[in-house]
Amino acid sequence: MSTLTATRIPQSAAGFTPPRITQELAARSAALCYTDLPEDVRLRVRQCLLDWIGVTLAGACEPLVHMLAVSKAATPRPRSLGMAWRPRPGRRR
Amino acid sequence: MATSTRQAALINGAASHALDYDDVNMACTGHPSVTLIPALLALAESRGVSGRDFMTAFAAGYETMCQLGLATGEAQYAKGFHTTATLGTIGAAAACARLLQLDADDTASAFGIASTMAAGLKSMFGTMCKPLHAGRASADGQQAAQLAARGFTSCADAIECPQGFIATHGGNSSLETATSDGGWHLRNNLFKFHAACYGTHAAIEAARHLRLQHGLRPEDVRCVMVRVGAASEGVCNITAPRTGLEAKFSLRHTVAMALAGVDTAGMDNFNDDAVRRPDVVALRGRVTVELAPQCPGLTLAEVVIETHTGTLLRQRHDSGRPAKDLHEQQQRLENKFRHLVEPVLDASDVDELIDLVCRLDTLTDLSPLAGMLARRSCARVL
Repeated sequence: MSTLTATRIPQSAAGFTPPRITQELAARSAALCYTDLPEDVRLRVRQCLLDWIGVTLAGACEPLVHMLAVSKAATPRPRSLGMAWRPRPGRRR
Repeated sequence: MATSTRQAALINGAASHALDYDDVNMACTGHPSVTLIPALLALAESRGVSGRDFMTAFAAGYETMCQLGLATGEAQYAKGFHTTATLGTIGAAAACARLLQLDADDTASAFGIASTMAAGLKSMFGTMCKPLHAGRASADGQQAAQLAARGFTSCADAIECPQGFIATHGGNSSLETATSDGGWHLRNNLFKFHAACYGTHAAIEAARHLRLQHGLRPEDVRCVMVRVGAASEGVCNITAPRTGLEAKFSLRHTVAMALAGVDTAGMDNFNDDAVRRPDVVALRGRVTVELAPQCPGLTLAEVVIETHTGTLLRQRHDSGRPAKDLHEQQQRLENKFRHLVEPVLDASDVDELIDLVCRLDTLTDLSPLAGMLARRSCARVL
């Protein structure tokens, strides 16, 4: 037993508790409020949206966009085997 | 075009990245807006979403995507993953989860679902698959959030667990790095003012500066040396582009355009005919790209021009520095916006859209904005 406890267990070994990055980032993201955003950050968000609208309206004329849109329109609607599924009560949003 | 919420995110995400003219953040070595906004606007069309809801959700997705970018580091991009696609899927999930008001646990589930959907290869650069990645990330992230809202299960530590997202994408799972408080990543957002890959912008700016400062004409130039970081090799170093799309990923070609006085902000100058312009092709033949291993990232460049009189002209530029003057940036963005949409919109619609976005914080319902975009889109897919 003494030799085991004296041995430094590598971090990759079983039993190592990984940092809770997923939970930490999810908690932060879910808690963010509009009032948290400083004024200059709000302006930057608006600038991101304006720039996005411009590049998207111009990019919507590109052939690849038509190819994606056509492939959707030309596909007959398949019948899904999963349609009998019903949500659990209280979980649906 | 009437379509599903998911399909709208897919198509608009691809459309927004089609021109490679969208904004970028170096913390995630990618393009947050094109993965976040299509998914959010598509959701906003079908439910009452205020401007403030949208802004909050966008910021949540943006910051998450960049924090994850720090956690995976440059290793992911160097391995060949297109981080706009991979990190963007999780970023879009964060944004949509916030818009749908999911709690922390359901948001973590959404991250897990998004982690296992994330995909995209850098080897696709220069093809239609690169913009497809943005659309896929947006649609998959949106679906991940919607599935999590319905109780769809995924592993709760998907990002850091063994065989999880970070382990498989080459990063190291340091909680400190992933959650470090470096302030708002949004403050480091970089907009593009040249219609080419971001890796070419520093070299374009440096070449443009030398041409203007010294009144250079193409016939004055004997040879040009472009020094950039080694990372440029797999991103934007197509030696002799044959198409407009390839030209956007060619340091030699874009520097030649800048020296020939061709407007690199004009998208028309990146069509297949423009790429064959004899004066640009001739100049391109005199441009050499040198990869500097000690030069990090994609935003630093040094351009050295030797003139026929033997003079050496040297200019460095860092395109990774965000603008300090936000008012000036707004003016440049409005100019770019008008340049982009004037071919497809009436002048009054251009002004109305700019005004709507300026008043975003006060809008109680975004569906009129989404509807206006849908009516005005030339492809009728928005």
